[in-house]
Amino acid sequence: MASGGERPAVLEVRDLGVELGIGGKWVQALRDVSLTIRGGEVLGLVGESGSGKSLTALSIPGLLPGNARVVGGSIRLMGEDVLGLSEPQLNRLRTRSVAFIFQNPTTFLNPVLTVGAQISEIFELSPELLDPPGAGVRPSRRSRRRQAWAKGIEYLRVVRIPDPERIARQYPFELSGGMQQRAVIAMALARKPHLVIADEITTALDVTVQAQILSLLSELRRSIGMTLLLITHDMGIVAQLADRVAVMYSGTVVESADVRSLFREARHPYARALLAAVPTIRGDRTIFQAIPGSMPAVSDPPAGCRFHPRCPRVLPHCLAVRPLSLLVGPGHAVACHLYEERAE
Amino acid sequence: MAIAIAGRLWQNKLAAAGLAVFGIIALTGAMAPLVIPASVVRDVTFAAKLTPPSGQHWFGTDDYGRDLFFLVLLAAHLDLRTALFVVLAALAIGICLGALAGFVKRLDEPLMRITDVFLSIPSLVLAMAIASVLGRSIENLSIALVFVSWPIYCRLMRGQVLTEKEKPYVRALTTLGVGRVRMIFRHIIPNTLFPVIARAPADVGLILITLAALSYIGFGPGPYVPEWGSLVAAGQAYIFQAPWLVTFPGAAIFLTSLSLNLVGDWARDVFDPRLRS
Amino acid sequence: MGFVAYVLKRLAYLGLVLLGVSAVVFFLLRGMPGVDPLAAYIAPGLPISQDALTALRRELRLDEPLPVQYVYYVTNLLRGDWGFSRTAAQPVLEALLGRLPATIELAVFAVVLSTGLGVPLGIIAALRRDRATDVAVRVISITGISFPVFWLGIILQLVFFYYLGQLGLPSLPSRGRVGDLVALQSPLKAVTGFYVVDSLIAGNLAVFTSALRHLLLPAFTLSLISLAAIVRIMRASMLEVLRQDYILLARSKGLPLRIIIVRHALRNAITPVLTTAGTTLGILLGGAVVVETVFSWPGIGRLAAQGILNNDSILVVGFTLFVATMMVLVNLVVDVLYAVVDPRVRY
Repeated sequence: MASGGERPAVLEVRDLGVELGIGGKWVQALRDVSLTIRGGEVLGLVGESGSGKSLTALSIPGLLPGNARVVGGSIRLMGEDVLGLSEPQLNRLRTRSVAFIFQNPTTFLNPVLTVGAQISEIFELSPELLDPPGAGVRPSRRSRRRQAWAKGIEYLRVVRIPDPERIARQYPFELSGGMQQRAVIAMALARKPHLVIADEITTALDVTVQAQILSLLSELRRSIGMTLLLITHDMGIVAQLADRVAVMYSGTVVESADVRSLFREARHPYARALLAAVPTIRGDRTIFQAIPGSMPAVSDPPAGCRFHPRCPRVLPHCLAVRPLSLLVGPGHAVACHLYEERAE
Repeated sequence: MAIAIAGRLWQNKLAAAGLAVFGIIALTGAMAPLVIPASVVRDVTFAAKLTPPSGQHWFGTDDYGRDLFFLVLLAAHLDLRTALFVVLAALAIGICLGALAGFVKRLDEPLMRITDVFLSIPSLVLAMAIASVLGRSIENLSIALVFVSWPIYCRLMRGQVLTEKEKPYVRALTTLGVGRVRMIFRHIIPNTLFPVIARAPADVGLILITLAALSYIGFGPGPYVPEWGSLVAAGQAYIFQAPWLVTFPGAAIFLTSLSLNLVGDWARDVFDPRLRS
Repeated sequence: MGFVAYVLKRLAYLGLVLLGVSAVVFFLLRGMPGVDPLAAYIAPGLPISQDALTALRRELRLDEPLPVQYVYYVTNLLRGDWGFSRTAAQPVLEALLGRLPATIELAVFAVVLSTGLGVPLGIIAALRRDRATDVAVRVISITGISFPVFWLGIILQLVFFYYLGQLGLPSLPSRGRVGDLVALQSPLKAVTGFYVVDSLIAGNLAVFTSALRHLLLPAFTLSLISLAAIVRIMRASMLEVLRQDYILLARSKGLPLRIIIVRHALRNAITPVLTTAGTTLGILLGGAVVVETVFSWPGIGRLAAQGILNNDSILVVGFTLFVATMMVLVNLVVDVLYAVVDPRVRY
C-alpha cells in the first residue's frame, strides 16, 4: 500500500458495483469503480450528468437512495471497510469521518431552523469536538449549548462569512446562495472529517460567487490540509483545485491520472473530447467542439465499451468486450482497448 | 376513454366494491316507493310493536308496529334523492359563480369575500340557522344545505380557472387567433371541470350525513315520512329495549356514506392526481 | 417587526370576515323574503297582544330601511345585546356564555385525543412503508369520515353503558357531565366552569374522576372524524418532508433518527396539520351540536338544538354568530402559531 514518501490512503474504493431499481428491474448503474485518495489530496471526479459521480460519492457514507443497492467491491475509509457497517456505526462515521457538501444549498438547509442551530447541533451531538472543560469542571447542559453555539460561530468565521454572530441567528432564506453554501461548508469542516466530499457545489451559484467559493476551498486546502473528493463537470475547476483526476463515463471510471498528465496527454477518447470541449477562443471565433451523441440511459446500455457509439476511434473489438482499467504510466490508468498492447 | 376509466376502476377493487354497494342501495331506494305500499308507513299495528328482527320482519318493528326494513328502504329514497339534489344544485351554482370569478376580474374580489364569510361558519351550524329561519321541512333543509355547499365549489372552480388561464397552451391558442368565447367554452372549462366534479361522490356522502344529523336533532320530517336520521332519533328512546331501531338505519347511513367515499377517493385519484395524498 | 405586523394584518382581515358573518346573520333574521321577522318572537300557542307586537316593532326598528336596522343591530351586538332566547329564558349572550365552558371542555378533550393519537399514528405510518400499515391507514381514514357522528355516539352508549353494565362490568356513563349522586354528595365550587380543572383545584377527587368518566365517550365520539383526517394528513406531510434535501444533509451529519424526526422533520411537517386545525374546529363545533344532544351534555350545542325544536331562531342565529366568532379567534391563534413555527411566513 503506502510506499516510501507516500501518504496513507484515506479513501480506497475498489471495483464498486451499484444497482438501481428502475421500473421494477435492477439495472447496473456503477460498474468496477475504483478510486484512491491520499491524505491532503484533492481528487477531481469528472463526468457529464448521469455518469454516476454522485452515486459513487453517496455510497461512501452509506447515503444511497432507497432504490439503490451495492452489489460488489469494497470501500475502505481510513482502512476500515464501510460497506459492512450497521446504521448506528454509519452514523458515527458520518459524524466524524466523512462530510458531504451538496449542490444546492438552498434546498439542503432546513428552512425552519437558524443557521447557527444547524451548525451548533453538530457540536451538541459530539461534545468531543468542543474545547475540553477545565480540570474538575462538569459542564452543564446550558454551558455546553453556549459553547456549541460559540464554536459554530467560529467556524462560520473560518469560511469567511462576515458578521457571523448576526448571521447565525438568521434563517437560511435570509442569506444569499453564496453565504448559504459557505454555511454548509462550515458544517462540513466542523466535524474535522478525514474526507470531505463536495458534489457540484458551485453549479447552482453564479460565476462570481463560484470564484469566491473556489478560492475559499483553495485556501482551506492549504491551511488545514483538507482531503477532498471534488465532484464536478467543469474542467476549469479541476484544473484550479485538483491534484488528481478521475474521469467517469456511464457508470465506470475510464481514466485516472494526476492533473498535469491528464491535461497534457489524456488517453481515453472521452477524456480527450471533454478537454477539447472546453470552449476556446481562436482569433475572433469561439470554437465549440461538442461530443456527438449523448450518454446512454442506465437501463439500456450498449454492449462492450459503453462509449463505443460516440467514439471517434472505435475498433470492432470495442463493440463486444468491455475494456479493463490498465496502467499506462505512473499513477495513470485508462480503460480503453486502444492502449491494451502498450500496457505493461 | 370510457374503457380506460372502466379498466382503472377494475384495478381498484375497493372502489369497485363501493360502486357496487352504492349501486344496490341506489337501485333499491329508487324502486322503493314503487314497490312498497304506502300503508307500511301509515298503518299502526300495536300488537306487533317493538319486535326484534325475524323472518317476517327482517329489521324488526318500531313502536308503531311498522316493518323497519321497509321504512329504511323508503328512507333511502328520500335521503339519496335529497343529497343528490343538494350536491347537483351546489355544483351548478358554485361552478358558474366560480368560473365568473375566474374570468371577470372585477367580480373576483367580492365573490371571494362572500365565500370567505360563508366558509367561516361550520356547515352544520349555518345550515341549522338557515333552516330554522325558513321553517322545519325537508325542502327547507335542502335549500339550507345548498347554500352551505356552493362556496367550496365556487372557490375550487375559480382556482382551477385561474391556473388554467395561465397555462402556455391558452396563450398559444390566443396568438393563433382563437376567440375568447370559444376559448372559454371549448378549452378552459372542460379542463377545469374534472377536478371539481371529482369531489362530488364524496360530497354526496358528506351531505347525506349532515342531512341525517340535522334530521336527528329535530329538523326531520316527522314519523310519517321515513328518513334515516329521524328513524334513529325515534329509535333512541327505545335504545335499550329495541337496539335494532337505531342500528339498522344508522348502518344504512354508514354503508352508503362508506361506499360513496370509496368511489369518491378513487374518483379524486383518477380525475385530479394533484390531490393525491 | 414582521411578526407584529403579520398578526395585525390577520386581525384586520378576520374582523372583516366577522362583519360579513354578522351581515349574513342579520339578513337571516330580518331580511329573508317571505319570512316575518316578528315570527321568531312569538311562542307557538301563546297569544300575544297587538300592543305588544307594535311595541316590538318599534323596539326592533322594523319600519326603518334595512341598512339602518343593520347598523343598530351591529351596535347592539357590540354592546352585548344579542337578543332574548325563549328557550333559555335568558339573554342569548348570557345563555351561550354560561354553557360555553361545558362545550370547551368537551372540545378540548376531543382535540387532545385526536392530535395526541393522530400525530404519532401519522408519523408511524409514514415511517413504516409496508403494505399492512398503508392499508390500515386508509381503512381508518375512510371509516372515520364515513361514520355519522350521532350514530357513533349512540352505538358507543349502547356498548359501553348498556351492554357493559348488563355484563356487570364497569361501564361508562351515558349522560351529563358528572354523576348525579356524586354532584349531590360533594358539590363543586365553580371557578373556571371546567369541572376537571375546578375539581383539581378544590381537591375534590370524586368529582374529578366522575367528570373524566363522563367526558370519555362524548370526547372520543367527537374526536373520531378529525382523528382520521389528522392521521392522513400527518402521514402525507411527513412523507413529503422526509424526501426533502435538507433531511439528506441532516442524515449526512450523522444525526440519529430521533433527532432528525423531532427537530428537522416535525417542524416542517406539522404545518398542514395546523391548517386543518382551523377547519377541524369548525367540524368539531358542528359535531358538538349533535354529540351534546346524544349525550345530553349541557353545552351550547345542545342549547342550540333545543332552540331548533322550539322555533327559537333568535337563539339559533345568535349561536351561529357565536360559533363564527370562536372560529375566527381560533384561526387567529393558528395563524400566530404558524408564524412561530415557520419563520418564512412573517415576511
